[in-house]
Amino acid sequence: MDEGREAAGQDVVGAIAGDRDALRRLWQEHRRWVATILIAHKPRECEVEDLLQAVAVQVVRKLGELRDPGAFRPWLRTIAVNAARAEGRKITRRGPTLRLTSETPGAPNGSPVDGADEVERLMELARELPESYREPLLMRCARGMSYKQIGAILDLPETTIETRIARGRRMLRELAGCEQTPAGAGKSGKRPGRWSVVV
Amino acid sequence: MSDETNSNNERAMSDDALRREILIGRVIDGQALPDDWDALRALAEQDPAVWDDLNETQRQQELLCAGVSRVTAVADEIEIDDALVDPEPMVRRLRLVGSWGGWAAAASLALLWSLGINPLQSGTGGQAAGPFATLQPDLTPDDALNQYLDTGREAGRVIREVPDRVVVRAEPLNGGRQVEVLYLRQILERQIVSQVYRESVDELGNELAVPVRLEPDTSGGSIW
Repeated sequence: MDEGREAAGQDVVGAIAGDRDALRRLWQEHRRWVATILIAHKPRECEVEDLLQAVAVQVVRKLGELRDPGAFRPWLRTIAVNAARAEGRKITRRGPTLRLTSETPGAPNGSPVDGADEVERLMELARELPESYREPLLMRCARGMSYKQIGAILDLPETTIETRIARGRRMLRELAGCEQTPAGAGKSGKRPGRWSVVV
Repeated sequence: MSDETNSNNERAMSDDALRREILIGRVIDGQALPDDWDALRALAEQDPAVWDDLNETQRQQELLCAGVSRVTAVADEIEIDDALVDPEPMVRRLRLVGSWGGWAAAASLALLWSLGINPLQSGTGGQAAGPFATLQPDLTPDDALNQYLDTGREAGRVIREVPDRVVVRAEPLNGGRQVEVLYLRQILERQIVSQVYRESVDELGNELAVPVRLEPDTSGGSIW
């Protein structure tokens, strides 16, 4: 174990014991990949920021109940997944809502696809992947987490992670290939400019 | 896509195809060993499309990483300290709102009452202007609202704005070229009060405020 990970392990123990500085360090170290987990599981119309705040509250409330400091990462992932799913259930119960998708007047429909649009389009396609592929694939993007690190969080062997990421990438490539139209517009050509109604 | 479909896809992908994808993945992730490169070159000799797939997968991976980085950047703004400041009352407060539902309107009136303003009299103008008191005259409405939110957060008054806007009405304008949308924005605020009241009516039809006693929550449940 390198020094950084050992220090993180000490922070887990400290945070469980009520050391707030340790908890702050722990949160700052892990919040980015927690956000990635949320992306993988959250409803489309839900903000990562709001879910992350909900996760933070749960961490503060429940960390003292964690018996095995070594299980901190899977435990944190479970909290994130539960927060995202709970929000999904709430949204299912709620009526139609409106989401402000852009503060500036949007481009006319059918405008050329630029780099940002392509990123957005690919993120949307990634949402269509099966959860078991989507999650490790997105985590691999979270500051280059290794297969081993991802496996430790998902409680799966490295080889399984590698296989799932490989399958996920292939499926994503196929999805993107299917989505191409002769005009090259793809879904982005249908995207409304400023508002979208999320039901 | 369901995990059942996923399972079918897994069966559909042959061992050779999987091997090819894993090799591509190792190259992209910088994990490829000399043997992996040799195997990939051998595959490409039989099917040059391997290089196209490698190129496209690499490009998609970079785009995906850019997307994840952009969306998760907000995480750097979320500090645990906000949750450290006595999170339990916040959870309880939200639970009250969630469980009492339609009672919330009366509760808002009662809250004013307990602050020393009679909610049953019209023209309650006794409250200080609060965060809006220092608004600059040249602010746009959005700037003004943001200033209120920021100042309110600093003062501990504003907890957050609820992200969803509730649509009241949406009507096409100008022959359908535009849409007028009426919607509600909701802001969660907090105030510490010594007593809350329920609005009621006595037997003679007079409005009155009935003190409500809130018991400490011991259910241990969660709204999340």
